[in-house]
Amino acid sequence: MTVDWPGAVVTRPVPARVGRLRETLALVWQDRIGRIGLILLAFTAVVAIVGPIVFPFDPTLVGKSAADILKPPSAAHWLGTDELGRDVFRSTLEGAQLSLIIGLVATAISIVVGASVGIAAGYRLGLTDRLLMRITDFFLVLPTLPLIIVLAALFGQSTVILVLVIGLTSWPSTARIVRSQVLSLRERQFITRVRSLGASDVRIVRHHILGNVLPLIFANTVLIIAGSILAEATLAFLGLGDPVHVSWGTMLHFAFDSGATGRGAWWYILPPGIGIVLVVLGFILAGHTLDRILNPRLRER
Amino acid sequence: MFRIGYLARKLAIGALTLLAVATFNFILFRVLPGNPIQLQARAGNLSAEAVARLRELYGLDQPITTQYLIYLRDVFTGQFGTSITFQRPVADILAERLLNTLILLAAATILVVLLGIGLGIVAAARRGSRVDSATVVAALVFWSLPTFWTGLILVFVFGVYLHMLPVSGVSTPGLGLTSPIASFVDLVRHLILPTITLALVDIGQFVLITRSSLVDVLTEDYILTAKAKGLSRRQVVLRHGVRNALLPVVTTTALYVGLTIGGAIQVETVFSWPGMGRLMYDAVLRRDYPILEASFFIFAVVVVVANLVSDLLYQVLDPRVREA
Amino acid sequence: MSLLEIDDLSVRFPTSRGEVRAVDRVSFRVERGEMLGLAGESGCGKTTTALAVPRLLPDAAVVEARRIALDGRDLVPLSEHEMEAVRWRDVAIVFQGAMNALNPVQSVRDQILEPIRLHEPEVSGAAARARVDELLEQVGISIRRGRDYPHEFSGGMRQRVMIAMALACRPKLLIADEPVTALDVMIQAQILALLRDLRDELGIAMILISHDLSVIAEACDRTVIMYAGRVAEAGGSGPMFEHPAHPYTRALIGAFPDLTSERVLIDGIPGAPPDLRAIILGCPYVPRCPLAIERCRVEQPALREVGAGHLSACHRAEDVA
Repeated sequence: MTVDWPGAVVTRPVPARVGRLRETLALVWQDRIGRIGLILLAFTAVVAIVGPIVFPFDPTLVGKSAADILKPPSAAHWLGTDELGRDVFRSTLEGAQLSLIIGLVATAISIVVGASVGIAAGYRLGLTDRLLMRITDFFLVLPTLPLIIVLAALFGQSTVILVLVIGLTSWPSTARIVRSQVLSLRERQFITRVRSLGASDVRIVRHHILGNVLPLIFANTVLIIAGSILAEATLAFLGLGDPVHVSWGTMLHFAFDSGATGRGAWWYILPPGIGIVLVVLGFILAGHTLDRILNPRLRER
Repeated sequence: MFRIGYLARKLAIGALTLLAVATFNFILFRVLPGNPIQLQARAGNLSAEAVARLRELYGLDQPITTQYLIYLRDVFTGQFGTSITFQRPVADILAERLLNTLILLAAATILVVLLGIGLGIVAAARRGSRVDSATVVAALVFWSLPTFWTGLILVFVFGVYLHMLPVSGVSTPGLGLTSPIASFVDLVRHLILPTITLALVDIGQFVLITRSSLVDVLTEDYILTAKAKGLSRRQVVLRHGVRNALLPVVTTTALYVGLTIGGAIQVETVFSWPGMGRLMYDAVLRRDYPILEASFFIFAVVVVVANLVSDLLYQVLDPRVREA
Repeated sequence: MSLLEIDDLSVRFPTSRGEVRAVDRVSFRVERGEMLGLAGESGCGKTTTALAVPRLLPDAAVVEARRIALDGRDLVPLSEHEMEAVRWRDVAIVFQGAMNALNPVQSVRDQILEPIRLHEPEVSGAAARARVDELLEQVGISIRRGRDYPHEFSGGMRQRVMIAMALACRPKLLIADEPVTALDVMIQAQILALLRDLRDELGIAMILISHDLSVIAEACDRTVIMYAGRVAEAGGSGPMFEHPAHPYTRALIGAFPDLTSERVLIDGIPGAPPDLRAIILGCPYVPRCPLAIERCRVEQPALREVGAGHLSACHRAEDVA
């Protein structure tokens, strides 16, 4: 908190972001459900980062003959082989990276867009607010999966497009939460005081509003990450994933497409799916606990 | 029951939203890709004659605004163009598939509402107990399951491994014209797995919403009043708690239809259920843009209608809101 | 035999930071047809005491009492099922904040009907509805408004609805918890007059809970003053306010020249009540008491008779006036 103009009023300091983060994590850890979530997330992170290094996946290493295709688990291939005779265990580890990265980056885009819209609308009010809210409400009406499908079908299937598409369809919820928080913050005394002293809007937003808004959207963010990972997996399954790189969704797409289900190749279907479930569950459990912590409802009467 | 003015206003807003969706579609499919004919040409080979016909149909020689008006006219008269894959009017194809999707959605909604709300009530009434925690955790786990993967697992277990239920299509081929009861039973058998798959993920969500809403309501003052009147705990929870807690749940159910479209697409794909979801999947594979365009629009219409119904339902159920 | 006899009632609440003794060995009586005032500052335990009678405290509360007898019948050993039959029929409650105490999605008529159908199922539908109309009239609400919803009434009207509802089964005892606190002065007078008239007409005994002494002084025959979960003083309102026998009562009265002219909100006394988590050895009022002596710090004063029907829990009761 800097006081850098003469006679400035010292407002309530916004606690350092890192300190708050650590504190919140500790609280999540204390809750049994939250703890399971964090463990799942840590586990997946480790697997995604370390796995492909220890067990690298070579997509060109295909099976030599028909007998190598869709083989059940064996000593040579711990989780069997896929429809091209490649090792499922290694491709699962490899796929973790893309699935997670897409989910995280798409969420980042979503939060940035959503928060910007929410702040702009809540702070400026008036025409800006009405216009932005109309747009937000419009996007809320559009059915998500069809929209993502259509956008991906029209604009291509590279990872970049995927990330953009997923990110640009999940921002409305963040925008609304941010906006309502900004609206209430605006009326608070310290904002009016600072404004009357002539502080510029940008400064006000940066120093006072952001700090109070970010913790609130934390819980929402976690849920959006979960949603984004599911979205990528679904898109990839439906054939709109990045054809070049392996992700859990694309693995399941090829599994389905090649009839692995019909042939009983459970070793091909289970691992990527379980991977998705573990990660998403981790975020959802952590998010559920976060929600309870950050929005305490006084029910213990 | 409600003011006519209110109803008219809501309908007008709905119509405007649909107009906005159509405009959005127009921008997406006609304006952005540049030359819409190229889209169709990309997917399949078009003869010069077809190209010329399309050019005329879309009015590509004319200014954008005219193209827009032509587009609007077409959409609102049900002229969605011709499918590249099927070489038939898109509208016809949609009509055939829509019913199948509606059957699936209806079955799933019933299952979700009954189980989800029922379990949510139990969990809220026993808040803090083991039953409650277990229910919440189970609901969260179900919420994390990707719908399509759940479908794959069910196909695998019940179709391939156990051979108990059919996993594809709406009816058994070769069944012939047997009695209506037999065909109905056949339909139901085909409906079981897709319905369970579609419902599973959302049951989790419904349990959580119902529980949370009921827990909130049970802390209200009028619950104490009800208890003070001498009502038994069960009577208090059901007559005063649930009745009020169901308000947000009922409106969520109406919205559910819109939310579950994504799930329906996945389920229809996995189970080869010949509905609009599967249609969209196939259209994506073959880049059949007219179908994609039209399906998207229809789905958006469904959501808008569902929102409208939800709004109106809320009006009916909550007397506090009626004045608006 | 008094209508209500409370003997040695204690209520404890376990909280995350220790156990709170909200009510500590409280005893008093309510006679038939009497309007008893239960006064004290917020948190002194008056509402908790009253709600313990129909057993309406949260499940977490630990309630111990030697005896709570309503019309000679001890309520303590009753099962929950038996208690349900006692509620509303024998003792009814008018809650504070009628805003939320009424179900927002039910019509007023339906809410008043509910206890009648529950406790007197033999009454026909028509007779029950007729009784509802009669009750609405008695409290001064037009019968036509029976089908309206709570949010369509003003605060004062809602309170009348609550009163009508409370009388539905003709209870022996009516507990009114801060019935006029949220209302403006004129409406307040109307409601109080209504309660008094109903008491006169129907002979119902009432416990009027309030932290506004002027209300108590105006309306109640007898008053019980509570402090820190215990009874400080009890007796006929008139004599007690003229010649208080407890320093706390004296402080309350002394602060305001004329009890009946303006609101006397008890929260306005300087100092703060003790933390009820701590176990208090002597008299809880010691920190704020001008008459405190050594004995007060170590020996808890018993509630004793200091005049005809006048009780005080103070070692130096005689020195107060």
